[in-house]
Amino acid sequence: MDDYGVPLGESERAFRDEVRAFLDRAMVDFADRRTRSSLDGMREWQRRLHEAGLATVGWPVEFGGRAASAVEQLVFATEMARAGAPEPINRSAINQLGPTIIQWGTPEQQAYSLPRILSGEDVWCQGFSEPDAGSDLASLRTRAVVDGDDLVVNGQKIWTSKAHYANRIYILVRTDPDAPKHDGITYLLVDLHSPGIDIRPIRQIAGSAEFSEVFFSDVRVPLANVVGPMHQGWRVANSTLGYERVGQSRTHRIERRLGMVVRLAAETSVDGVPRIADPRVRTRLVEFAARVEALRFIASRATAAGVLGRAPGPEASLAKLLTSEVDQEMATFGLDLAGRAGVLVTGSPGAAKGGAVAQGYLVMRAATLGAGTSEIQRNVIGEKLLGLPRSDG
Amino acid sequence: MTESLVDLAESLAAVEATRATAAQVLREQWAPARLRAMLDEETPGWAPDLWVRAVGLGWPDLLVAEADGGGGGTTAQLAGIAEEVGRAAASIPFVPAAVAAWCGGPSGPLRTVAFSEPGGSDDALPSARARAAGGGVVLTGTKAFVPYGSAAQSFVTSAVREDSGAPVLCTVDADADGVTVTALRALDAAPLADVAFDEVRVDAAAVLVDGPEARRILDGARARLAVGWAAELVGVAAAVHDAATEYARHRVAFGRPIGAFQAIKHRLVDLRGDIEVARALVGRAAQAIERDASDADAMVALAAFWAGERLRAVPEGAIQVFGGIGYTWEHDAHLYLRRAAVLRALLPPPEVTTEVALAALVAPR
Repeated sequence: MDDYGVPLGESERAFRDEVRAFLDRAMVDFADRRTRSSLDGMREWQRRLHEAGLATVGWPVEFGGRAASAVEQLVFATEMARAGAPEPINRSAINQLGPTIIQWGTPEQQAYSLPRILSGEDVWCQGFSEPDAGSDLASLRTRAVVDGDDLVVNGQKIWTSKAHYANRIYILVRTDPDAPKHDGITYLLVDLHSPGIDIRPIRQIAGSAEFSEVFFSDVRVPLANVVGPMHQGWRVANSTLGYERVGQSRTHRIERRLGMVVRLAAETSVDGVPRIADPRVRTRLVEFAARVEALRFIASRATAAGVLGRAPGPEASLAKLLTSEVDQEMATFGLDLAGRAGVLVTGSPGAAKGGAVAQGYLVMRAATLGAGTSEIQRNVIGEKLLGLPRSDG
Repeated sequence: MTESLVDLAESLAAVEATRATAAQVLREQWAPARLRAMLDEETPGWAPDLWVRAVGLGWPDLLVAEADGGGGGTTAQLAGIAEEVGRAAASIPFVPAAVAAWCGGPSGPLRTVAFSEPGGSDDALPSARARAAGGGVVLTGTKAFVPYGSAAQSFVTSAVREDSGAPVLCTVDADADGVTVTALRALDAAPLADVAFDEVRVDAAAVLVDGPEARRILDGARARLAVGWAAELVGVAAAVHDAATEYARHRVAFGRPIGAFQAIKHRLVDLRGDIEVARALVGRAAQAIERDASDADAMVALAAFWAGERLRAVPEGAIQVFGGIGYTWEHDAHLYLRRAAVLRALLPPPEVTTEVALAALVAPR
């Protein structure tokens, strides 16, 4: 299990041991699944990480990080995933907002915001998507107009996660409506408790509400909260947007789901014949295993390329599409394997995996929608990797 | 960089250098048009002139240890050259000759592997029999679908010893008494053959491996063969996919390049995804073989399964993108389709690879 796909040097082994020692100590209090996924659990986890100096290993040292190498980041992400560690409450702020402020922020923004991200004192959500600007994000219409020392914001954001408990939000707003659509956008930090903000949860197909709509009516935000140059927010956001951390951590989820469908196939039967004896089932399982194993290898190769200071190969740009599709297909196949028990939900007698199969089936509809639908992914790959002409003109 | 990172960088660089050389040689001395010309001949065809060059470059002896006079190369390098051979649709026996040399040491005249048997899945013990005789053996049995079987001057073949029931590997000359070679005619003009051995005398020096080692070598040879064929199939698929993509950039219909239509664009993206998965699995299997890893059999099975089940669809899909022009004799697309179909038939069948892969999946880790 020590194989990260890249060899470890001495200091990297020491770092791995430090992370493992931390996990051994800290995970004792997070053994319960509900604790791990609860709000208080994620908050507490963030605090523990911060105390141990592990809230962000990738940031530069002067901003509270450890300037970890690509290999160390891989080690960190892999160990966390293997231990089943909770998500720190500010994961997206650590991965996306923090690096943006480090690159573009004023010294005041850096001094104020960065420590509060790491400690979890501020909890951030992201407000980029809008009802008419999802895959086509640059079509966003939320307006902000300068008035004295403030910007006055009006509009609506959607698919904002964590909005119901966060206290801060980073948004993209249109500040120059006459400029071409990519050129009139500004990146803005907003106090979510400002007057004029209204948050309405969106109930999703599985019944819960992890996302919200956020409405802005004449919300005043100090100009000092603009990150990077005015009207240059598209460039600012793109410096970290879509920056998917490459590493084995991303494939842990599909590895786990593969294990789950294999177990389901072995444990379920029809008229006494285990489903795994069915040649069609066997073929599907091997198809899944092939894709999961390939994605694992692609991730480790991309990491190795990063470690060696090379650009990742073309296969890395396909990884998101392939990962989300195999994940969704496995969840669907899990429902098929579980048969009648698959459609029973949590709390019902006889529900497969305590209802997790049914829940997973519903939740995984999002895999091919979030962070760019699979159709958009195919367009982007077709245009960027294959050099095919754009589809819209 | 730490010591081990230097190793990693060097091994990646070695594979890239091998590939680059192979690509250049194949560009200089081979064109798919030659394959088209062979298809019009009465007899199977291949490229002895190109093979002479490949021998000069040490390709067949790539996997033989340097101490034994070989190239000391890795399975990843084997896959690298095989992919380039596939990309060029070159008619040379690189994969079977390299595996034959891995079993039997540096090669002279063309030597191939004759493992598979009629109706056999290639995974079981051979049904060919070897009877002990004066230090050597006497061989009887039939091998089927032998790659380059009608061109080779000798075969590395497998049998089971009548006395011990253990496998034995030996070299047999194609013109030895009791050897009958029946040439087959394949979709890609390749010189495949069925080879029958009837009381063929094999002297002690030609018995390559005997006893407990023989099973390990036979399995290792089959694994390298499968990875090599899968890699060649990756190259075939990649070449025809590149060509179809290039065509989609420029061919105009309804006032725009057809690659702007999502039906075409998304098809090409999906096929590329299948190719990248195959290439990754080949790389993973090659690494596992090299490390003698416990999951090597499963990784080889996954690579063979995916390449066999998915990659023939790449030339099929490419012909759809080319449209009518892709259905003509003069267009290269059918050359890749033919080669892909034959390579798929050379790979172990999905019934076998599925079982090997699943055995590892359900085993407690």
